[in-house]
Amino acid sequence: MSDAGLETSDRVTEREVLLGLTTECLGRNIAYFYSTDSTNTQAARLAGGGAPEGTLVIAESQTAGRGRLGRKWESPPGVNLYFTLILRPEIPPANAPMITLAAGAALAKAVRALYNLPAAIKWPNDMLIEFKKCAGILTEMNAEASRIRHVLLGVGVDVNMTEDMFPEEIRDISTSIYIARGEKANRAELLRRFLSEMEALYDNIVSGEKEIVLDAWRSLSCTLGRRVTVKGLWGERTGTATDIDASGGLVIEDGGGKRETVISGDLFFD
Amino acid sequence: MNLKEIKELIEVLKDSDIAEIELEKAGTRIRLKKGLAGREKAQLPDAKEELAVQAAPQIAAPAPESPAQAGKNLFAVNSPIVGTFYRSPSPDAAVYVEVGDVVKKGQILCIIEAMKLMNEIEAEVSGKIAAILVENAQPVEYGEPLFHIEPV
Repeated sequence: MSDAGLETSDRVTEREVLLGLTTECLGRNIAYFYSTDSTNTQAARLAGGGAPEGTLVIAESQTAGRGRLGRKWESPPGVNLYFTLILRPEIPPANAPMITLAAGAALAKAVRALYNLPAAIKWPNDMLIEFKKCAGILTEMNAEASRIRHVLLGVGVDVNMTEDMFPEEIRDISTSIYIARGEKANRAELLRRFLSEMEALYDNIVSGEKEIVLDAWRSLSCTLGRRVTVKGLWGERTGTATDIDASGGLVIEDGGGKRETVISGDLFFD
Repeated sequence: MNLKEIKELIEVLKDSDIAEIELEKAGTRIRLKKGLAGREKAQLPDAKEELAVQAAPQIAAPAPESPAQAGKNLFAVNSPIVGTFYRSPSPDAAVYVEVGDVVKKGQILCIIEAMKLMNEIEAEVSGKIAAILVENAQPVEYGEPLFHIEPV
């Protein structure tokens, strides 16, 4: 665990994050934790207490980091990014999935720009580097029928994790910026770049310009044009991923030319 | 609502554990109820109000002007998004609610997932869960009724 030690120059405290932050809203209000159960859980508490739009909840480690459907997210201290943005967009709840697509695109953009790595998006929003998972995004929404109370955009990025730090069962399918690049990355810098890319796309969503987000996603995807299988609790579909629809659903075409759109599930490349 | 949609609804009802569905769309209200030969017999409400037929789902006449459902004042919880319906937070976890449970306003009833956005659906009123209208892991449409709550 020698690589996991916290160097004072690479913390993600409020001061480190704000230094050089160019956003107007995202990340302007910060709740920093050395350790927390889960930044999404922590953010839900803060959102319930009235935390403003753009609040960033960030932790050096999570004791109960989680992914989709209650899965565990590995969250060792000091090496990665674990954060949640509290958003309160004035858009119909039906458009909220755009935020999750935008987050994947913003992250891939940031990693490409800062490190010149071939970061790409696996539907709906995992960030991969050379087909290995480097980041996951879990979004939780609290909404009434026609109004969003808040959206919690939870992001986990494997930044400086070394290979031996991944549990054996996911080692072959996981990577980090450090592993891909051969050099450590400054987490606060990556976070600031993500926030700035995300703010631009988020503004597009709020102003009704969904197409910009969909096009950004398409241009950064490593999913479209490939043979895929999406498995959900509802069953599974196999075929060629041809596009995403206006809501972000994945259009899959089988051998016979029949098209279906899937909206949930785990995607596997064939 | 066209005939095709009604037929699809009948299929859904046939293959499910649901005894009865009532929904309203564009001013048309429809109620489908399984025949009394079904195994839900004991749980069916007062049959005299219904035009029940044996062994097959049956379509009540559309009643655009009718007030709330006869006899009971049920509150429908509708899906705010297109997505996948989950009755529990993870596949191994216990379900959020069962029919007959008494829930409080604000209590989580289910999750609707779309593009890895998990939408926790809360009870908008306190009351008893009268019906769960969708099966676990099935797709739901925007505005589709998910639960009926009998307010207390």
